[in-house]
Amino acid sequence: MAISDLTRRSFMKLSAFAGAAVAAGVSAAAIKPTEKAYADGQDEVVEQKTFCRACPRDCAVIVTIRNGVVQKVRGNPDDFNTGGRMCAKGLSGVQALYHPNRTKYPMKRIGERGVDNTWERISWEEAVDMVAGALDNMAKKTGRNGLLITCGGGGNPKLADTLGFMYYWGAGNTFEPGAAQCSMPRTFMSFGMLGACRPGAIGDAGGPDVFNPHHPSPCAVVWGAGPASCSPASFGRNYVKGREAGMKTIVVDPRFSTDAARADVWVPLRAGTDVCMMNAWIKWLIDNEKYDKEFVTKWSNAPFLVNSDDGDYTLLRASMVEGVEIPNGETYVYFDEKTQQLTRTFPLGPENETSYNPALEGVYDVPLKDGRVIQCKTVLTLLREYVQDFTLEYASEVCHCPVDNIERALDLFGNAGEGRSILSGVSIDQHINSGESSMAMCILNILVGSTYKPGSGCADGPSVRSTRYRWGSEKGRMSNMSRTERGCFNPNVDKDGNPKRYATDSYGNPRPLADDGLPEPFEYYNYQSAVERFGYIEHKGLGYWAQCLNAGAGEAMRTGDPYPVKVWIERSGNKFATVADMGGWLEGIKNLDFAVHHYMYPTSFTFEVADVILPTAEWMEMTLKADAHGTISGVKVACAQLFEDVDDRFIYGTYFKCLADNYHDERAYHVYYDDDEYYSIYDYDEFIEDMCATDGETGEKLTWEETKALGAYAEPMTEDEYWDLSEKTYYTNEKIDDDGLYKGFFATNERLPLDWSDIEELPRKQMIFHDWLVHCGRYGADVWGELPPASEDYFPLPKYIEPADSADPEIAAKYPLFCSNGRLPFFHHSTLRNAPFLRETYPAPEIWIDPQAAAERGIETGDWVNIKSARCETSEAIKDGIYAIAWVTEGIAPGCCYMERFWNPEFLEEGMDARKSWTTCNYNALARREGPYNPSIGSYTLRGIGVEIAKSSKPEGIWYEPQDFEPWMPQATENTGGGYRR
Amino acid sequence: MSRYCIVVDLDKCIDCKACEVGCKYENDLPLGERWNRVLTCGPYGTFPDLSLYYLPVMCQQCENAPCVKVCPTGASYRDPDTNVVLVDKEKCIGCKYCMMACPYSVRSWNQTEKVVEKCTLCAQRTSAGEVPFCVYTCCGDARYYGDLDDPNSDASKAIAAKPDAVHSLKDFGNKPATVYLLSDKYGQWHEDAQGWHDTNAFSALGE
Repeated sequence: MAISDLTRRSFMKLSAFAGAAVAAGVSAAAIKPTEKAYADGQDEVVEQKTFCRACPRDCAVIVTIRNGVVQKVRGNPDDFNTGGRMCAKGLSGVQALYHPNRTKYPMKRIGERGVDNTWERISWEEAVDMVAGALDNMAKKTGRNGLLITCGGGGNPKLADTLGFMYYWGAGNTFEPGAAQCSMPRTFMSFGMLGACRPGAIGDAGGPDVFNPHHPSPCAVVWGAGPASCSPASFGRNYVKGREAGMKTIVVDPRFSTDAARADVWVPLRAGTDVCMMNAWIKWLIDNEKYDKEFVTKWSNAPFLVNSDDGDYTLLRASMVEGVEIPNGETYVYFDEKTQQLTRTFPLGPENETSYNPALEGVYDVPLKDGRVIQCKTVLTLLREYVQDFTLEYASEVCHCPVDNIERALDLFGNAGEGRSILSGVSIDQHINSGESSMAMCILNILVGSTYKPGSGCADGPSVRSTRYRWGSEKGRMSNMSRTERGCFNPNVDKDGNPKRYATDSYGNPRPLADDGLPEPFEYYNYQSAVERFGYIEHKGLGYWAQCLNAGAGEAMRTGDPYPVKVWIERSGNKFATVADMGGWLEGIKNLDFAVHHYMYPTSFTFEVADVILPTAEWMEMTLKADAHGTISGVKVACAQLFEDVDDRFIYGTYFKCLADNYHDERAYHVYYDDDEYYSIYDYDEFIEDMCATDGETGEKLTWEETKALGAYAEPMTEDEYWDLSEKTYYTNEKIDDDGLYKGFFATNERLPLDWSDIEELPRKQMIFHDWLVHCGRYGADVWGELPPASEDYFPLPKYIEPADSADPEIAAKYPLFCSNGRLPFFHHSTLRNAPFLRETYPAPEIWIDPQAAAERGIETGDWVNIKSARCETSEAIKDGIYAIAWVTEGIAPGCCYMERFWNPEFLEEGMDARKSWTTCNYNALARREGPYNPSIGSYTLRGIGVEIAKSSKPEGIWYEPQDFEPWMPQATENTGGGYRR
Repeated sequence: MSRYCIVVDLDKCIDCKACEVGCKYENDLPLGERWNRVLTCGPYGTFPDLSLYYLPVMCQQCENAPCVKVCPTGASYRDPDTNVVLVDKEKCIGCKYCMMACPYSVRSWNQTEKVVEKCTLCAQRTSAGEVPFCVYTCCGDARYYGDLDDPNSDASKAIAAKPDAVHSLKDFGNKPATVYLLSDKYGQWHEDAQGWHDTNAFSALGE
């Protein structure tokens, strides 16, 4: 097949030069009807066991490959989480793999960004050299910090790659559209407040113990999550099983969602007001004595004294208090009921616990060493006062939720007993009250003592792994995406913490020696680079995953302040669909020197920003350690490798190799050649060798063919073995540590954020009062050293903040409806809007409107409507608003609406207006990029924006009828070996 | 005689549409054809006291199948061994009488082959002893396949487990054999299509 045929359906016109480029020699074969696949005995049919990666859940699957061409995929029944089920996203892997619009080889832009969509084929070598050359040019002219490297879409195999690249490059910024808006607020707060246990993040497979059949959960609160939509085959199914087995569920969601419809109580909620509702729950639990008094006394900081003198809100330090000794260093203070003394806190153990008799509530006069006497309340007393205004009636009014629903939820939750817990989803991260939502969720879980209890979502399920085989692993620091730190590490030291010392520089000349006679330590990344990351000092929670404020990157691009962004390396589907108000970025994009897009097919980003595009692997083309957020151990096996595609992970190593070879970049040279941290696209064979499994019984390392034949999920543990392991994690806090004391919380676990605090003798308690957060705002929690303070202290209790749009009277008057978004079961983030069978099923986004709001606007179900937000007044590209199909339904609170995120790849087809791909049906184009941002995390507003809706008509150019999607039907090609076949 | 069909437990259906989409991949259906589609029924009631269920609709394997009756060539027929309603494409002349006769719009027109098609209960799988693909991949474990005349079949056992929850689509005299289970606690069964919703309206039930 000639190149011209291959690109017949391409979205882009190839320029006249393309024909002269190197031919790939790809042949095509039509996908045959499946029943015929088995009919011909001559055919070679392989049933390859592997893992799906249509989302980060990594379900075990079986791919049918006939004569090298993938035919279909189905779930692997050995995976007890799915029992062989597979969702619509995963099943569409075949259409994704053989999509005719796959980017097949590197290309470079001919013409202007955002205007001309013409591209010319280039070789991998030329493309990589263009990126490396742009980086080198930037480093020499304006400095290394002009790099912006981004990723996204939880489906990305290794989110930490971009972060690692930034570290080794030495400066610049990284973000994913999630992070501050997805998962990071919850992990940041729950690791800080709950300690060593995984938060029940439902979309990320958190809280598996809810489904432990040996310890049925009495009640699970699903707060702002939709397991049936996020991961139908695993957690969606598990919730079905749980409900059938009698587990009560409460679903808090603006939508009467699938899970809400099957819940015992639905708590509808105006998007962005979670903290108000949670504070009402906290008040109710305390007022009605429905909290676990014994647990919070012994295991939380509820009895600790708070220093609220001088407007300070921190826990009282023992070193300040007259008459209190601190033999083991700084710690906190409580009032002991038995001795009637102010006493320093200490970690409990079987030997000393009877001497710990704290007063849970009260106000105490505390004599300080400086002679003053101050009044201090216990944490619980302060919390009780703090939430006193959050009555059910107040919450009902603010959250648009009937009191009766809140009461029924609390009656159920408050009386459900041990094993109840609150699990959460992304929605609580997607507004400016993100950190506080997580904080309040943690407090609720602490109050009911849910951590490490059987049946609770606040326990740490083990990883499912093979009972016999050890899977191979990749080399390099980036090979394991640490669950807690997202790969955050200090690149200046080796794995043992020793400084990096290289004998020679990139020219082979000896490097200078230090006083100890060894080569001087080498510094990849430094304090200055960390401090200057956009928004970091103000929002230090961003440091948890080394992120920058993403709107800050957009502003820096536009204004050059505090320093310009010059080179953008982007790896995700479509930033224009996932980042708020990208219309506000367009002006700044013109200022970029260079941008490269790594992805499987072109998106709006390609048209608007990229200068070079690099073809990356679909999940069926990847060999990769399966991870599923730490819940699975196995290896995903490539089932095909097409065109010149390469796994994105190898591109970073290839950049470093090129920077070292062609530009003598010192850091690149050391990381690629000395540290050997990366594979380049030329090292694929070495990588495959590393990935081979070892037989645990014989100790023998298998070949890759043997590893593949074994299947990615060979001899996995049974469900019973899994729950037996899980059993061992229950009541971890009561287990005895090496020092004879209880492990408690925050004692020995490596995930301890020890450097967050001045506390030297940790009391090993959970944090109702988030003292460490205040410390973090003032000093940071970064390996690079103490950071300058944020302009205001972070507040250690969950302060309710009204969503930004509705808090502005002008915006609220003009855009009076509160709009939220939320996931559907057939797309993951911005993926698969080009999969024909999925688009046929959901061709255009729906917007849910309550009957009264609809009637006032003359809108009926099935009408096309136009939606506008305040951003339409500031962003020229979306001045006309966006479009969706109305569904008038009682299933949403009055005055609220819901719309799925969407984008329209059809506008990237030849002859279409490519900009419309992200301006026509894209909810996030209406979302709020401007502040205020969440104080500690920097989240902006994706959910709970103000909108106005009007009856309209179908926008021109969108594909809607099933036959419209015909050009996207798969065109199979044989396995070419990908870009590694060189 | 056997009565093979599918039983769907609507208490457990989570509207993931894996059955709808999976059917298309398994049976290699072209765009525009759906042998199985999941409708949203409801929400019924007034905010916030609501109920809803999701309704996967495919060939109901009617006992008194109008599609078989109206077919002038015998292309729509009942398999003598399994009693399953099928289409013999060789005999189909594309008159579409059966499509008009079917009260549930579960028959599709194959534009390329110019014949009528529909759910075969995945004959290619069931003949090899496997369950239909929609049952295999159902994320809510909501689908059961089997012979209703065999009390030990998955389908019969699912019905026996929830005897008070048994429903079927509106009977126009055709006696649909497919059984839907919906417990009272999740809502009342609604026979009329009013209030039913499809994210893609192009082939909504009754159209």
